[in-house]
Amino acid sequence: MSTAAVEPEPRALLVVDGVSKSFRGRRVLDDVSLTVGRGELLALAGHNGSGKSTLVKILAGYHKPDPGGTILLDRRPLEENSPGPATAGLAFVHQDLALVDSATVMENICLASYPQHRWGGINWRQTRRQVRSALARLALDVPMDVMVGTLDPTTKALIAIARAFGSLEEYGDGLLVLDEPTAYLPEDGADRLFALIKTVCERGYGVVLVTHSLKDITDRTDSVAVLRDGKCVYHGSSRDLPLPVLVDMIVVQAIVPPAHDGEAAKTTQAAAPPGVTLRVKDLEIGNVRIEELSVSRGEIVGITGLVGSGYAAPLYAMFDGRHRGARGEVEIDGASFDLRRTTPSLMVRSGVALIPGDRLAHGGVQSGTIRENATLLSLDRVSRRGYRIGRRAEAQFAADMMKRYGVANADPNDNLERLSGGNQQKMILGKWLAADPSILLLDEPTHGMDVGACQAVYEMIRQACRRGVSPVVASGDSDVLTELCDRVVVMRRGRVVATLVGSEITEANIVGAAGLWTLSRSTAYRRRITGACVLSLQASVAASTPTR
Amino acid sequence: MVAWVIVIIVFSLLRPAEYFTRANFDSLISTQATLLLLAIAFMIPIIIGDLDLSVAGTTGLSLTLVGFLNGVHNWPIALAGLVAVGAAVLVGVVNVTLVVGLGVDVIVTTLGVYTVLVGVALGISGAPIGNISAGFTNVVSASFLGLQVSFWIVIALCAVVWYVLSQTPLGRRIFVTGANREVARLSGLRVAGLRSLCLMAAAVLGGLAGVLIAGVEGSSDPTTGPSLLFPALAAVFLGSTAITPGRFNVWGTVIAVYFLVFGVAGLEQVGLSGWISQVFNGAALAVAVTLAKVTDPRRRQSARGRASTSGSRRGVRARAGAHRPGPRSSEPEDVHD
Repeated sequence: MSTAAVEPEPRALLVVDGVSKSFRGRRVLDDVSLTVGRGELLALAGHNGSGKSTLVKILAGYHKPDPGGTILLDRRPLEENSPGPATAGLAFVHQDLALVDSATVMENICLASYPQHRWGGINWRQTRRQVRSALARLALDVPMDVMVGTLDPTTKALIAIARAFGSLEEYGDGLLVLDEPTAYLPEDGADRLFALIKTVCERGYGVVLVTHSLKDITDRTDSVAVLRDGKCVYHGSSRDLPLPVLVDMIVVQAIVPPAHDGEAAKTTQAAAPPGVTLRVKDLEIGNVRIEELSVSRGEIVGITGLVGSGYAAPLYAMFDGRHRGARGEVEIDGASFDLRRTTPSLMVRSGVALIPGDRLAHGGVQSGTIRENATLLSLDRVSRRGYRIGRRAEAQFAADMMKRYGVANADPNDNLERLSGGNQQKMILGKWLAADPSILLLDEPTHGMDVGACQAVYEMIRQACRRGVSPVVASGDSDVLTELCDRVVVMRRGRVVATLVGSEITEANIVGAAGLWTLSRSTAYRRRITGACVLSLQASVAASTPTR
Repeated sequence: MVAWVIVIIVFSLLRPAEYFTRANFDSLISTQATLLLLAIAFMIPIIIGDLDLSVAGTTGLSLTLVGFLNGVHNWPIALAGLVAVGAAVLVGVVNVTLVVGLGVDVIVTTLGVYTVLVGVALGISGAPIGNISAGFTNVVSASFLGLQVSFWIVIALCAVVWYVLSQTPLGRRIFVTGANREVARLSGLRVAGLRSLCLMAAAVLGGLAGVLIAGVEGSSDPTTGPSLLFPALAAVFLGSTAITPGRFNVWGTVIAVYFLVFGVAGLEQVGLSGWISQVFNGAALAVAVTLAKVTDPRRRQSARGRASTSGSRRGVRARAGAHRPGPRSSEPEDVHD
């Protein structure tokens, strides 16, 4: 129940009243009530597994709610058996965007409103006109005949939103549901997205935004509904909500997993020589070039920049150089490799691990079991003399890993895809750590995860570092960098432009160095000059006054 | 499994005199064991994500070679068999070179290779050849524990394949590569090597199937390969709906092969002939795969995953598993192995 109950006003576009949902006897949603008015931007917040996605899927018609609750859209009951997101007056953008990479921008956008264009055939001219105006409304400068697969994630997200909004506009009224679209967007992309959402709201549509970005919630939304373990623990204005209060409402449990090897870690740390474990020389991949980058034992190094600056590319160049067409040289624990010939299998054998940024596609085998994923890199350890996998040994291995990293309430024989994003990442990280790497490369390790899971992953990385692993984290998320890294390398347009150490690592410094540099510096410069002038003026006045 | 038992019961009731007899069961199980071996040969590359159509062609070629060398030129059967398997290895090498080495699409390549092989087999011998060494046919059809030796040979090979695929790290790596090739690659698995291994295994087993057919039939018919292509493939896909639903597996394929064989045999004995085998094989495949899809409990429940397009992503499971599982393709897997 909402602690700050909001009366369903007559103008409310969406009224969710007392909705519950159980899977296999487990309550995922428990008596959730909330409303969205016309012109309102409601954020839906909560940690992974809190029921946000389930609620969205109930709205979309993928799930049927348990009997008892009601959902009214424009005062009409939401068709419980609606076939999917085609319900009039509802449009969805899911996190994976559901775009067809091998189709053009135009084809992707008209996919949703396809029936409207068909009179025995597709009216291409009108389609083209409509798509063009839809793109224009978003201020999207994308050629319509470009394959979507060739576009960057930001543009893809905007196209998906344009498509969803287009179908809503044709209906003339309704609710736009955005499921974590900002996870993929850099700061300027998010700005464009929120600008668009504002326009949508001003024109009388309602928007539900599922997001993990707490700053977006307090800064840019009207109201927020916080879910925790399936219950709506807060529903009300987000305007005057202090960030810590919001964090408190979302985070539910002790988020740092117990250090299973705390003692051992300390001794190893003392014993581990502070030497250079990783050195990259003259790395070149695409338009990215790094002359030299060294990582020492015991430090966590971050690489960052704006999207498009190529900050993650060096990781892939090291790990998968031959496939990606990289050049240069990498030195791992003293052994030198030509980047033109590095392959994942060579790197894995040399003690390098890579946690890819695209968790769903490249992180783990979604259709394999949690157990199979957990032991993938340690098969020799759970099999007898390397020939036969010991069922019991393997089950034990997986169970230990799940327990150690706090992946609760899951059956190791369930498929990986049934875990929440945060828990998937813990298992993927656990899988790699089990292989005892000396270098741990991470691309956006906490991408799209809730606060609690982020902290857990940070802690896993820190512990690995204490054990002598050298983590290198590529991330566009300043929280990751400020909380985790000892040193941050900032890239812009494929070049290293700054290296921040220790207390220099602040969001302002990173953003400053990454791209808004010119702007930031010039305004700051101006401010400093003005300030200095005022100060010196005051000083001179102050100095002069008493004497005279 | 249940369907197989039902098929047996139904036809036993309809034709108790002919169908429900030891002789009939023995002959069906034993003579069709070769189909089973071919199905297993198809299954191995399918698991890793490569649908190798040329296997049936390899079987046909190997069978024809045995007939030609042994039946016409009176080579010793062992030597003829060796040459046939050697030819199969050669086919495997060609497949590996084209598919893994040069990266040509596997279905297109192996469709080409398959067609070439069918043509070559016909070129070697346009008509069926009899006179396979009696010694060989006698050994193969000798009775052992109530069934013919050919069956036991195939079951032994099935057991080996099962062991490797489901009990060893190698098998696990093959499964992971098939489920998501990019994850496998980024995990440091030698994807190219694993794929080559699977294609070679398929070719060799396909070749062995050809030799065995020569022994079981006592003759070689160059059109045998093509006629086995569809039933074998159907059995593989059908088999993925049994034992560990959603995963291609050896024992599921065994059951599927005999389900199809017994069904067709029963229908033929009831009086329907010729055309019925195709109708039955095809319908059984379509119905089984549909049932597996409709009754899959994961379909409705697993939608909590963040990749919310579960419906569409799973829509192509059989085919996605069979040809190119791009980095994102996934199969609805059940996991009680």
